[in-house]
Amino acid sequence: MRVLEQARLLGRVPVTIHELDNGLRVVLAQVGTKPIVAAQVWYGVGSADEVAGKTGLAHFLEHLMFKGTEKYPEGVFDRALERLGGDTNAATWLDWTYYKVKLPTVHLPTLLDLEADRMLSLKLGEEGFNSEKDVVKNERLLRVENDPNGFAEESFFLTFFGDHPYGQPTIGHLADIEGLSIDDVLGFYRRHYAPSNAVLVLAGGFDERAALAEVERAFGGLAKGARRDRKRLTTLTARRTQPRVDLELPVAQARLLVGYPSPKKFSRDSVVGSFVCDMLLGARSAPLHRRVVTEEELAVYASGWQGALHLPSMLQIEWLLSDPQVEGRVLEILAEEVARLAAGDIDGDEIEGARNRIRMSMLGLLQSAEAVAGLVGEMVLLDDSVGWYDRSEEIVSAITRKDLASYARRFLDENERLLLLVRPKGGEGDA
Amino acid sequence: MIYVPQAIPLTQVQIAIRVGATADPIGQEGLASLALALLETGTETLSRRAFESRLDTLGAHFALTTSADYALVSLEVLSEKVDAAFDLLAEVLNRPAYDAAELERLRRLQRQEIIAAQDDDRSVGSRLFRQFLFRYGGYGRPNHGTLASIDRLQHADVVACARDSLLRAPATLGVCSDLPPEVFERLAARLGFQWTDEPCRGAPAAVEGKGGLRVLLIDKPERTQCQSFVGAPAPSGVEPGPVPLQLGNTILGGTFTSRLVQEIREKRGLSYGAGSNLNTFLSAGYFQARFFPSRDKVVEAICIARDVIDGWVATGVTADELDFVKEYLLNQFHFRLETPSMELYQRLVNRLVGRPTDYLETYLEALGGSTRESVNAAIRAAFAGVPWYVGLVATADSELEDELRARLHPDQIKVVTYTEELVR
Repeated sequence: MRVLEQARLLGRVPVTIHELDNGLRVVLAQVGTKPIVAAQVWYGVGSADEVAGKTGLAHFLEHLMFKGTEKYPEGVFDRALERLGGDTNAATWLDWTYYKVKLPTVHLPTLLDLEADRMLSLKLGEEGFNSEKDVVKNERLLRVENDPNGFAEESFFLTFFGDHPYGQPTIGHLADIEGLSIDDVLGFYRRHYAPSNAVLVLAGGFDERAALAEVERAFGGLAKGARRDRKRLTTLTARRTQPRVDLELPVAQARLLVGYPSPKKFSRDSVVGSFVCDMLLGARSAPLHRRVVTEEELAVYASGWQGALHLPSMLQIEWLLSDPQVEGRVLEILAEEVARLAAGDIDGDEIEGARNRIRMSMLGLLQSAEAVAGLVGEMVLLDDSVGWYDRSEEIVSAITRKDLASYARRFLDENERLLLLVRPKGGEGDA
Repeated sequence: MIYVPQAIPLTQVQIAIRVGATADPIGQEGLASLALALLETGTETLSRRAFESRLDTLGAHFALTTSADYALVSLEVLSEKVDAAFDLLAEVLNRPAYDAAELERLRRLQRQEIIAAQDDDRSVGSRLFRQFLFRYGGYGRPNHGTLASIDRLQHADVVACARDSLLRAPATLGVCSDLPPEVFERLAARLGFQWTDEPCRGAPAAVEGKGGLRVLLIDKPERTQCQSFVGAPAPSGVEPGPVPLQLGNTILGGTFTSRLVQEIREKRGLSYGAGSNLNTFLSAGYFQARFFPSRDKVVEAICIARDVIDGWVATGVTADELDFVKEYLLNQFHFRLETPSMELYQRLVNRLVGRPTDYLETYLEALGGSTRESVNAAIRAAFAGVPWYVGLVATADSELEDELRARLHPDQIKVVTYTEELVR
C-alpha cells in the first residue's frame, strides 16, 4: 500500500488517498466527529462505456449488484446492512457507477466484507434476474415514457450528442433492456468491476489506521483486474444532429431547453461556465431570471447549469414558459444577456453575488460525510486527485469580467446550440 | 431560540411563525402563502429589485414557505455577512410595502405554478389523495390555494393576513452557526416577533367515519404508470408515544427489506419503488403507502398492498422483525442529526408538530423500551376499524373502474380529472 496524495479540502477536511497493491484507490476523509461513516465504492464504468444495442447494461448491473453472492445469498446483503443501520443506494451515470452506504463506524468491517465480496463474486439466478428486469422496465416507463420531462430530456441528449455515447440514455432503450441476458450482464461485470478500476471512499469520524487495516484485510487479496480504457470515447466527436427539436407532449406548461457545447469537467473553463450559469440564473436578481420570470412574466421558472461530464459537456438552460409563443422573446433576452457578458458589461455586484453563492455552496458541502464522499470519489475516479476542489475555489475567487467575456465569446454560440421546445398537446394547459 | 453550533463559517436561520395554511378561511385557500410571499416584494424604502439585488450580492439564500401548521422564513448566508443579511430581514419584516401591483404579479405567478404542478403525477396524486383522505377539510385543504381561491383574494385580505396574523403570531427562532448564540439574541430583537420556545399545543382531531374503503381515481390521459396510494388517518404530533407506531411503520414499508417492498418490488417486480410513511401535523396525521406500477398491474399491486397492510393491522409484527428494526433505527439515529442543519430542522419541526422538547434526547430510550405488545397495540389503536382510502393517477375507463370495484369492493369510487383542484 502507498500514499498517493494528502490534502485538506478548503483547509478544513483532511483527505488522504492510498493505493493497495491490487490498484484499489482508497480515499479517507475526516468529516465531523460523530462515529459514523459514509462509505462509497465508485467504479470507472458508466453508460458511455456500453455499445449499441446493449444500452442500459451499466444501470441494470447496478440493480443486480444487490442480488447476492455465494457467500451472501439474495436478500442477505440488504438485510445485513440494514440491521447495522445502513441506508444503501447506488447510481449510474454516463461516466461512473457508485454504491453508497452510511452506517456507524463500529460496523465498518462488516460493510467492507460485503463490498469486497460483491466486487468480484456476484451471482445471478434466473428468477431474481427477471424480476429485477421488470423493476428496471418499470423505472424506465415511469421516468421516460410516463414523464414528458424525462422524455424531453432523453430527446435533448440524443440530439445534442449525436453519435457520441453520451447521447444514449443511461437507463437504456426499452428494447435493449428487454434483450439483455445474464451473460451480457456478467460479461460487463467481469470487464469493469475490479479493484484497479474502483475507488473506495470512507468519510466521517473514524480511526484511519484501523480503517486502513480493515480495508487491506477485506480487499487486499482481490485480483487486480484492468483500469478502464477510454481512448475510444475521447476520439469520438459529439455534435448535434440538428439545431432544434419540437415536441408536442401531454403537459400543461411549455418548456424550453437550450444546450451549448461546453468544456469538460475538471477544466478551468468548466468552473467559469458554472460561474456564468450562477450569475445569469442563480438568484432572483440574476438577469435571465429577473427579466424573464419577474419583469416580463414569460416563464414561471428558470434554471441553468454547467454539465459535469468528463468528456465533452453541455451548458444547459431551462425555462418553464407561460406560453410556447413567448419563445422568441425569451431567446432575444438570452441573446442580449450573452452579448452583455461578451462585452464585459457586467456589474461588480453580479460577480460578487455569484462568488458568494458558490463559496457558500462549496463550504456547505463539507458539512456532510456523504456529500464529501461523493465529491472526493468522483474526483479521484476521473481526475486521480482531490486537488480540483481547492483549485476550483481559487478560480472562483479570481474570476474577472474578462474571463466571463471570453467564455461567452467562445462557448455561448447561437450557431452551435441546441433548442428544444415542448408544447402542450392539443389544448391542454387551458384549465 | 433553538441553537445548534457548527464549525463551518456558515449561518442558517429558520424563523417558524405559528400560523399556517390551516388558518386560511374557507374559500380563501392560499391566503397565508400569498401574504408571506408579498413580504419579499419590497419595503417602504427598498423596491423589490433593490431588495433582491442587495440580498443576492451577499450571496444569501432567502426563502418563505407555508405549510399546514406554520410559516417558515429561512435565511442562509456566509457568517461574515450575517449583520447585513439581518438588516435586510428586519427591513422586510418591519416595513413591508404591500404593493398592490406586486400582489397581482404574485397572483399570476402562483396561478402558473399551480398549473405547472399538474405535470408531475406524484405531486398531483399526493395532493389530491391527501385532500380526499381529509375529506377536503383541515389538513386536506391546499396550502397554496386553487386557481379559484387565489382569484378570490383581495389586496386588503392579503395585507391583513400578513400584518395582523403572520407578523404578530408567536414565532420560534432556530439558528445553526459558527457565531455564538448571543449574536442572534441581539439580532433577533430587531425583528419584532413575539419569540417563544414552547412546543405548539393542539388538540387531536376526531377521525370522521368508521371503517370502509373509498377510492379516488384521478383521471389523466396517456398514463403508462400509475402513482398509487393506500392510506388512513393517523395520530397527530401531540398524541403521546409515537415511537412504537414508527417502529411498526418501518417494518411495514420503511426499509428496502420491509414487507411492502418485498411483496411489491422484490418478489413480483411490480413497481420501481414502494414504501410507507407517517405524516404528522399538530392536530392530525395520516399514514400513506405509495408505489407506481404499470396500468395493467395497478389493481393487482393495490390488492397486494391492501393484503399486506391488513395483515399488519390484524396480526401485528413479529419479535424478529421488531428486534431487527430496533437495531436499524438505533444505528440510524446519528445520521438524523449528522449535520448541524439537519439537527436544527429536526428540533424545530418536532416542536412545531407538538412533540415534547426532549423528544430527541429520550428517543433512544423510547426505542429500547418498545415491546412487541406496545408496537402491535399502537398499530391496532391507530388503524383497526378506521376508514381506508385508495388513490391512483391513471387513465380512467370503465374497464379500470370495473376492476377496482370487483377486486377492492369499495364503498365509493370517486373519479376526478387531474385538473380538479385548479377550479374548486
